[in-house]
Amino acid sequence: MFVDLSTIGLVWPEFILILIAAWIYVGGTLAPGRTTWNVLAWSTYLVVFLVMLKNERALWHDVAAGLVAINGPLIVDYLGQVSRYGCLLLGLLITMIASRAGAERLATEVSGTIMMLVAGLMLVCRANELVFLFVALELISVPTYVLLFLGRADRASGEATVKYFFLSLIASAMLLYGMSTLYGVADGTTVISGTAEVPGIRGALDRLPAGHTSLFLIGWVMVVCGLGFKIAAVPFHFYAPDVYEGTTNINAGLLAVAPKVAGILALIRLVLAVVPADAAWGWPLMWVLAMLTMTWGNVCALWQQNLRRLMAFSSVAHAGYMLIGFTVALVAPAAGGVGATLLYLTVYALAGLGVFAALAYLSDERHEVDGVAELAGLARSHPWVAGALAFCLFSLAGIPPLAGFWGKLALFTGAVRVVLAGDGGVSSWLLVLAVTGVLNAVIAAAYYLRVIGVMYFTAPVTRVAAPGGMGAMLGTLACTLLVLVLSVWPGLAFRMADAADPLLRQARPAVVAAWRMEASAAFAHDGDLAGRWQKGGD
Amino acid sequence: MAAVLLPILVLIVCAALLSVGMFVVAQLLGPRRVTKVKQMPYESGMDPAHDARRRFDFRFHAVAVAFLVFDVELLFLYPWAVANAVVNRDQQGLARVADAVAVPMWSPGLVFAEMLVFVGLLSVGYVYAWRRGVFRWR
Amino acid sequence: MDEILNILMILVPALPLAAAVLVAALGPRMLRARSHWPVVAALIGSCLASLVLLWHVWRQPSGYERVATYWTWALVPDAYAGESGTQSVDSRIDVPPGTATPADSARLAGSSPRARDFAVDITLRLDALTGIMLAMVTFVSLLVAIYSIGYMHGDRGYWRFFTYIALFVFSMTMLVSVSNFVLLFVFWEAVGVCSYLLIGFWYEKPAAAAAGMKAFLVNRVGDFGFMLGVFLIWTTYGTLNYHDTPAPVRDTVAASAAPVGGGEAAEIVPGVLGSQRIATGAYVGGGTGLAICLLLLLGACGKSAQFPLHVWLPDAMEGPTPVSALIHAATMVTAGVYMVARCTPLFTASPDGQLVVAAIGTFTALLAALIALTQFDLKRVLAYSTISQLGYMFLGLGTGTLAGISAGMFHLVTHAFFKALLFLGAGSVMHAMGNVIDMRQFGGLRRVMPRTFWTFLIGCLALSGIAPLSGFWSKDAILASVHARVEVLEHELVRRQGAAEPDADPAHGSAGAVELSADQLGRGAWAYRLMYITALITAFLTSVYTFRMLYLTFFGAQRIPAEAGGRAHESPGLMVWPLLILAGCAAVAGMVLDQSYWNGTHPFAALLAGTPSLTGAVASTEALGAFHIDIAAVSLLVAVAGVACASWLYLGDRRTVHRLRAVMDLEGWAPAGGRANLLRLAQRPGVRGWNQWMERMRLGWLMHLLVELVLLLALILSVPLLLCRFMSPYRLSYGKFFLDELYWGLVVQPLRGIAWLCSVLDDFFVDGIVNALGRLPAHLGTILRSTQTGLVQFYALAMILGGLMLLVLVDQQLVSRVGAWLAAIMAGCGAW
Repeated sequence: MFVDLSTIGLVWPEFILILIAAWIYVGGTLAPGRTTWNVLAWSTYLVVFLVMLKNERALWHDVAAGLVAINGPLIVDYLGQVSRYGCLLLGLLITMIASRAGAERLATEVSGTIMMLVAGLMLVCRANELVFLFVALELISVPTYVLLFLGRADRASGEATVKYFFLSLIASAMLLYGMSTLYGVADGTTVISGTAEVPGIRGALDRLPAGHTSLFLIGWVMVVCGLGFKIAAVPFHFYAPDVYEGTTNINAGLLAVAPKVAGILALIRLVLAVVPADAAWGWPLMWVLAMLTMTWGNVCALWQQNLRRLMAFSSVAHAGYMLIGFTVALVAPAAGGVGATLLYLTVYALAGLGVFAALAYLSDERHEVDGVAELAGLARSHPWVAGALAFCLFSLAGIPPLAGFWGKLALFTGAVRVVLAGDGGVSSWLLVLAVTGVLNAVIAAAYYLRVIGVMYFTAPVTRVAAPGGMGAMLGTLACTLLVLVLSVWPGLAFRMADAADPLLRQARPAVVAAWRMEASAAFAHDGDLAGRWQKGGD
Repeated sequence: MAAVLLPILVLIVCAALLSVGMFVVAQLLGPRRVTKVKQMPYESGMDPAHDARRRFDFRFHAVAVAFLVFDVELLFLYPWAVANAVVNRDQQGLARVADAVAVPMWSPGLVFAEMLVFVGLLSVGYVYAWRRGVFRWR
Repeated sequence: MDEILNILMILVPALPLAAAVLVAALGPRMLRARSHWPVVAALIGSCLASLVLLWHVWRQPSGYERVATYWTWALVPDAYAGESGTQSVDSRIDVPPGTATPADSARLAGSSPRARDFAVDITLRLDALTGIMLAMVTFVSLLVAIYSIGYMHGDRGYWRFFTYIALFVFSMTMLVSVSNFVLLFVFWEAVGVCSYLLIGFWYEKPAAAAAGMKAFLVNRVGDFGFMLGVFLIWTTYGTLNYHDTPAPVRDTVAASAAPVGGGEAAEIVPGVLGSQRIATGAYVGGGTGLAICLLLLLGACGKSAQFPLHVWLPDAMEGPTPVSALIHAATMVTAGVYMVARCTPLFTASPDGQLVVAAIGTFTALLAALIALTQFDLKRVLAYSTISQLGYMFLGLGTGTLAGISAGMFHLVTHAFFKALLFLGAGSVMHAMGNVIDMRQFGGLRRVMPRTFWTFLIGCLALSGIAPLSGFWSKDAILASVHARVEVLEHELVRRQGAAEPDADPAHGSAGAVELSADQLGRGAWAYRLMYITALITAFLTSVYTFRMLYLTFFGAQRIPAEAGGRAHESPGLMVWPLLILAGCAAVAGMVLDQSYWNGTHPFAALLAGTPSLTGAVASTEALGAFHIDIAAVSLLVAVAGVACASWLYLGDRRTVHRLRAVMDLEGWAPAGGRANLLRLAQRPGVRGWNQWMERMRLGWLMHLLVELVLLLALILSVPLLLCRFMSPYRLSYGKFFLDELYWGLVVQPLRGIAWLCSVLDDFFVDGIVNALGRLPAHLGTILRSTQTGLVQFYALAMILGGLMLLVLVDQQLVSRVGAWLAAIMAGCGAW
């Protein structure tokens, strides 16, 4: 691992974001005011996005061509590249939605903290080193605590904040224990995917004597547990309903999206990377987690009357769907499981954020929209919001041909593809998984449609005010539009997700039918491209 | 040997002088109104002997956290200073070591810049805390 | 230039779409009675763009095609796994010898060993066929839209009407422009939806709503076939694009490493109708080919209202008349014809399929003409006439020769002009008559609406095929091509029988691209001759019913129904101008587009023959511009005879008609048996005397017995007579051959029975199970929800315990190892 100015050059956007965030904090104390600083935050995201786009043209070309480079604690590849831009977009959307969040006096804290969080997310996208990954994850967790606190000043909110804080600490501890165990087992290296010169954890594990697996497994499972909390997988999901219910709609939206994105990316980077290709113990864990998570989440969401509680269980269930992709990826790396998960994650993030944005638009400091019944007659009082909300909910439910459907299709297809390729025991387990997934989608439709039904077919009880402000409205529309784009143009999303799938990329040069991948073949790429970047090869 | 220990001796002397000096100056310059509170062991107003479940003003925490942040994080400067000195003295040697044990190797200029950034961020934090009124006792 | 063309190709459908969106958004609030402006403006632009495109195609050399791919809509990688080798062996691929090696044909037939993507590209194409269709569609749409301004004036759904019309034009232009079977199907459905919406435009009228439903459902049957056909094309050819598509490069790393523009060329996936495949003739014949043709034909039959599925079109007349003119006469119903013409190479590969196309067309033409003879609803007569003329087009396409196909398409264009004209004229009449359309209720309107009358007359002459008007040329061209086909087949048969070697000199050019067996030749010759004669009879019937309609409406005593409210008048200018323009087109289009009578050229056919999929696929039987004076004379004679017949029947006092009707209705048969007749017989003097004598002889009972016996006998004998009377030719025609009733009895009712059974089963049996299952998640949820205690301690414990369980799951040995360890400690403790 070698850190020099080129490493700094790769993370300058994150640096800029952190500096601007700091400036927003300090500036907010010097010149209070909501709008000015929000505009600064938006323009920062936009400018960073555009400048990145302009500066990284060569890099884009290289990663699109399959470049994987290791630079210091960073890994540069298509997944990292795409997801960083996605995170920036997410930051823009969240800042927009949260443009009226928090007390007037503390308004800048909200936008600044979100920016810190986004910087953390962007670092996770390319983290390739245990400490770096952990710090990046903490850079997401700590701002989340602050945001939860900033949300609202009442008992429920306080309770939610403390709950999240304690449980998140436990999860971080588990993650850290797991990481340190991995570090110890892997011959004292902290690099995840190593280079030819400096072996990463995976390379070190391959050279490990057979007897050490037990310790390694402890570390691995702990890492999965720690990250499982981030994505709210059962049994690490317990915080979700309570915290979502207690906090504001905006914070719930943030919780539903940001930790999940970080968790999924970290799982891809860390968990998938360190599991040997021929390991028979990887997929059963994911299988169990996926089955439990989606079923538990959907079943519990069925009778919820509180919108945020409902969405919390729904977010648990979606984590379960995404774990299907991991199961597939662990069974058959070339089956595109990770790509499907990424596609699903994108769709989920946008649609979920859209739902919470719409709810945020209908709420403010004094009154949050809580119950499903409060949405009664929304279609008549606020047709556009109701339409956007219904659209996002339909997409989450996976109604064809909306984006959520394409995501589910990709996940289930991956599983079924492995089943069809068929090797005895594993494929029947995956068939069970796919069937359960489909059944769960049916169950999920029930509670989503209930909400839509209330909006469209029930007479209004109280008049729903819409004090959420333009920002939330714009955020809602932007999310809905993006989901719409993904719905009508799924080909693009499929292509990008497949290109971002690191396992698929490794498998591409080989025959597609050969599921199992040799460790030595990983990260092989054209020597010509590697001239500018340090060559990877674990 | 003595030459090596001399700076430490100077440090001890300075520390002693400083603490004694501060005490003396306070005795000389400070107003001398003896109240009940001032006679307590902790001048902050805490009664050291009381019920364990007593409520505790949050402002103490704020100050304590601010203190800890600056104090503990400044501790960070010591190992840096030592490492930086070593790096400056024997760059090639350290690079060899770094290669051998496969740990990160840092170029000295970069490390210095990073430390500047660190100090800068700390001072930003200080400004923030100050402006937010962490030190205002009301 | 390329960019301009691309933009124009996009503009043609995009303008109507934009207008539709605009009117849909602003129509109900802002535009209201001005809703026609965006639509008319968009259609003008669209029409101009189409004409420019057509002009461009006209200037290009033959075989010109332009394919513009805009983006990929859907992509499934490696969807088509061609089993290498097996397919090419199993299926019979007819390749002209010497043009392609077996390996080539195997590759082209879609059995490439390499897996292929299922990609649906948004691709527009431009060639002669598309250009002609675009120009025709946009031109007629423009005129109809202008006409509708007057016709729909003051309607409650004014903006809705124009939205639908614009949406329809968008769908129709896309239908003829796309270059992919999936998109063809999408827009095939889209025009169906527009048609459904417009038929049921006055949805308060139950008849209109029912007619819309009927049209949609009947079309479903056809679409089912079409969809299966598309599936079969996919499994057979491995692509659904018309054009040749470069295969996407899989390996991105390899692609960027390879020098740009050099190295090996990307693999080309030959499109179903692409030039590569046509050049090698790699089409699958045999059973698969026939199946593809028949399934596609089923789809075409649904959309173009051909025999088994024609029942929806007459009912579709419930929609506003401009809709009938535009969608159900000029454009949408010709989609089937367009599709069959587009898929000519597929049909060429299967001569039996072509024969079926021609047979269905001929039969439909005759059937519809017979029905049209007796209808009294002006628009229904026109609807049956449309069905009949579409049958002609299918007959032309079914000959499988270039002359026949161009004749069919030629008839499509001329028919669009004169049938739109007739429908708009009928609409004009309807407008004046207060929405009365029954020809028995009005008459002699010649003086009331002179301009409508004259334009209608031109339309009638064109439809009947009277000499210089357009219908004559196109109908004559179809007849001529059928006749030529008969001659070629017979000639080939004679030559075959004469030659000792059956296949000494395979003359592909004469009998089509596919070598026919002697059996097929004989059957084809016989069938096409029969079709030729039937088509002539139909031509006669056409002019009879056309002029019957004209005479009933415009001649005779002037009668105006009460609904007109005394304000029967000529229609406003906005409605008459389109009529005049269409009348001009209907009059001269034939002469302009077919100059064979004059200088032996046929500009229309020459242009159409430039379509790549037609030139390559069909070997022309003869020079396109040939003019057959004999066939022209025969058809003209037949048409004039029909006109004369109609004039004899309907001009004057029309008593002949009633007599003819009585004869055709078998009225003479009715009184044969029956008690009244016998009683009248008994009153005859001789019989009466005999009867009285018998009475006197106390033998009256015998007489009564005899009479009863005779009555019984007469009753038994009259049953078939009564049946015949019920099914008399007149009633068959008037009752539309009772096909609707037949479908009702054979399809609808049994389906309803099954549906009832299913609903009962569903309600009591399936629902029971489903409900029981459906409650399961809810109950499970109730149980699981109880774990949400709200206690952080519990949550933390659950996390830790959950993690431990996962650890045990992953490492099963862990338990035993820890157990052993604990046991050792215990043992140690015990020892101590």
